[in-house]
Amino acid sequence: MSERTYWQRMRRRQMSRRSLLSASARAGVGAAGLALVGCGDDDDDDAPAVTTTQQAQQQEQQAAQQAADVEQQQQQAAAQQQAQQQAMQQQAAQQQQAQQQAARQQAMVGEKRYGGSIIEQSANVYETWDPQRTVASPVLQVLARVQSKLLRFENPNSGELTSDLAESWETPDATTIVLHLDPGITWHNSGPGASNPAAAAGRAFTTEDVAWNINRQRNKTLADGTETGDFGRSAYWGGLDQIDQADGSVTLTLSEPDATYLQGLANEFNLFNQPELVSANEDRHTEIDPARVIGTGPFILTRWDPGEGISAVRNPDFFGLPELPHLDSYVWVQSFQDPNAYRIAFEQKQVDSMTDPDPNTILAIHDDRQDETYLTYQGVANTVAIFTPSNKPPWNDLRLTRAIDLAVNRRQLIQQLHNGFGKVSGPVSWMQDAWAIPQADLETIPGYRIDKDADVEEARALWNAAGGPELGQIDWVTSELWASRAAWSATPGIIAEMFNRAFDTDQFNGITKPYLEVIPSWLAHDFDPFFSWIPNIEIPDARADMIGAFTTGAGSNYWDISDPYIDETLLAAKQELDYETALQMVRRVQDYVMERGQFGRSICYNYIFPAIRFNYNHPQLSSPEEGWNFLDTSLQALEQWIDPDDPSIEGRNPPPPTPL
Amino acid sequence: MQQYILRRLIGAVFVIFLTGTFMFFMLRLLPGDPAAASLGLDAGSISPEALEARNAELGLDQPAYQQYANWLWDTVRLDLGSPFSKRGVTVWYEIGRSLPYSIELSILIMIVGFSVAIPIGLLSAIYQDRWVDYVLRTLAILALAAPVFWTAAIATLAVLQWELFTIDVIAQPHFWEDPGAAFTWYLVPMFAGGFAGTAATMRLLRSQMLEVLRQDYVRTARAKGLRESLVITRHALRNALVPVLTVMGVTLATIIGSQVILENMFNIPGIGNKIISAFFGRDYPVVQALVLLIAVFVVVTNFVVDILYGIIDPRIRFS
Repeated sequence: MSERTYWQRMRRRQMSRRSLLSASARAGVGAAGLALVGCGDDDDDDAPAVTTTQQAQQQEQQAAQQAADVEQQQQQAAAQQQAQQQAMQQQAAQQQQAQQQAARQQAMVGEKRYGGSIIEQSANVYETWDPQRTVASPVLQVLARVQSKLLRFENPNSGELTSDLAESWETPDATTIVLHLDPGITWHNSGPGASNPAAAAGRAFTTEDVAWNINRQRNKTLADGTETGDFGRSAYWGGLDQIDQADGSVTLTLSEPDATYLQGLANEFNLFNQPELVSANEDRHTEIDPARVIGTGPFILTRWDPGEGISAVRNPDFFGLPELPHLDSYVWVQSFQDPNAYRIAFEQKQVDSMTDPDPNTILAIHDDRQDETYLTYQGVANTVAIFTPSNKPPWNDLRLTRAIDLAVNRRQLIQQLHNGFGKVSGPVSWMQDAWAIPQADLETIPGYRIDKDADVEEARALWNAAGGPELGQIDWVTSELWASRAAWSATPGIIAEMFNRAFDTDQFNGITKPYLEVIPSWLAHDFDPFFSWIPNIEIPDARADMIGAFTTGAGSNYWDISDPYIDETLLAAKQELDYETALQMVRRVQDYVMERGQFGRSICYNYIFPAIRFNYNHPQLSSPEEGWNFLDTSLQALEQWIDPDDPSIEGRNPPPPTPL
Repeated sequence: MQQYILRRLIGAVFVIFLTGTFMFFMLRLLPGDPAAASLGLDAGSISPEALEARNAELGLDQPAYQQYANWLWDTVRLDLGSPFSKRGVTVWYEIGRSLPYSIELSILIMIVGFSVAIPIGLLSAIYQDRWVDYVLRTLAILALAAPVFWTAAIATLAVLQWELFTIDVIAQPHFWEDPGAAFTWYLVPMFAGGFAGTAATMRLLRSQMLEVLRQDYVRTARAKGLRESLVITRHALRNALVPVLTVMGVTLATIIGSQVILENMFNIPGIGNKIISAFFGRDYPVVQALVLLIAVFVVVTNFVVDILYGIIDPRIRFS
């Protein structure tokens, strides 16, 4: 349990700093002492006896010289002592300052406390209670607090893993993962799900449960043998060749070496159901009911009434107790369709946090309540991209594809559509922190340059050289779902105007299409030029996304890219167990791809939502102002806490959760 | 009379049919993917197979004319279907849950509106062209000119800034459950809606009063020595209210319109709130049912007002 939390690590770091300062001070004192001892040592040296006048004179001269030397040494020693004293004083002052800063920080943050309830807004729509059959993240926001995965992310930005159902794991080679289950895990023993006659309440979690959940998805079959296509993770689990169970351990054998597979086990979609309860209810999986949900997680679902309210209370038998979780309960209230209602709820402390598509609303509230609130900035994992169909004429001319990639004014789009809240992304999203090209590097890469005129000039030259002006009208598709949002309704026109201006033409025309048409056209490799969200990033390790998009015949390679260099490098990276080497390989491919207009898969940016919270509300953050990139729901479930001593909590009257 | 009622009934059914049909096809012309929206998605993170399965489940894979025929037949049988966004419940259940909130707010808005509009209209007419009249007419024009969302937003900011009282937008209590909390929750919307919705009534009442006060029978009433208060209330107001009553029917439709905004602004889970969420979620059955419900309500209200109009004023003949 050591090194488990940020706070523990923080305290350790504070201790280390203090130790370092103390050691420095001690070293300073020691050095000063040594200097003094050295001076004294010189004083105590005995002079040899002389008999002659010359010798006497020499002796006198030597004595005078010695006296002068001693005086000089004494002066030097005094100066050194003074310098050492000043250094000591400075170090002491630094130490005091560090202590004061730590104390201030401590006073501001308070001791991490247990108990309390967090009140947040929920979604109104949940299409299923089965995490293995959902495609929507709101379902996971609820269930990741109730159910568990084999592993979870301790650091969602870097992908650092920690134990969940598996207390430890080994990867003897690139095709084998051995997971040792925590022997103390039991299914929920109280609440609506446990009261369901079909549930095996309180039963120990076993390796059979693991195998049942994986096989269900791998085989795409329900308990009655019916095949179904709605297991969204079937492709992932299909990568397994074999599952072996022995003495509380599960060995997963991959069909081919894949160094990224381990992180997939911590993906929020890979939550584990109880076989008995799910088998009895899976024919009604779209009818939301807390009595159909049971888990092994830190909270027990007590209410799940979409559009009205949801609550979950702490699991008294959770295997992480007594350290985790910190909260007693979560209460999700119905979503607010109007910012006015959300603002009332937040400002009157009926909810503990607030986000809004219009960042100005959040900033205005923060301006009014600076003393009791703070802002954080959360990236949105749905990456925004331009897709150019480079697999078919006329776009299969690399000059045109590159011209489009260069002409996309990513920073202007962030400004126009997201009030400036967002960061440009290269082939790997900036949210996949470790793998992405740093923002400073991107600023010098064509297509992403701060000096957009240079990009546009190059783009126009390529466009004209490839016969772009002769292409006639070009319809650029924006997804209907994107354009149906009030703030983004002008997007089709904005995209068309962006290209028309860049190429000094009026050929581009903005239109909308539903995803129902767009996605099948991608899969058929016969799509129109497109701008909108593209499917979510699944894990922090970017190798999986890069392989899926750029290698020959891969599932998301809608552009029919077939490049031996990319194939060789990415497939080698997939098998590479040395992280640094893999990072370098992916970076090389990113550079290669960007020199070729990203082959038509022009990733643009990931936007950011600011969120405001009262000071008493402490979610886990990656830094004081930044939320984690994504995949942090399990982390929050355990680590989020409330400070009852914070002055901002005055006047808060949270609605009680539905009890067990 | 019977013939008149029958004619009006046939007309009412036709209006309701047209409204429903118009809404049915307009919804399908709007951008947005109901299947994706019903899955709670805001991105393209869904497989085409899942989308197709969802479309089939919702009946959206059929041609539009087939969907329309199904909807029409189901509606005639009062089967409004199930919401796309919430399986396992019916649209009737949703209506049953939302309607009481809308009725509560409507009544409050009308009480505030008419209890302000009638005295102000009266005073303004009695003190015609004096400072009281000018002030009250200016207020009425302001109320007419200010959009309801603006009035409500300004009032909300004032409540938040000065911490006047709690607007509990989460508990959503009915009056019979917690009168105090319900009152503070409804307070801002009922005044904002009341002022906006009945300014026209106040101005109409003023002009009607001015006309009636110049009638011979009013002069006669004064001549025979009746007290002015009796002249105003018993003779003038009663007659001036007849056309106002007709306008009330129209006002009610205005109130319903402003309620859609107010219910959303204050998280009141009424019909208006439900319409907006269903509209943005492309929840066709819910939008169609609620629009139809409002159409029925407005048509019936106007129908009843027309009937009452003749009963109150016997000079009117239904021919």
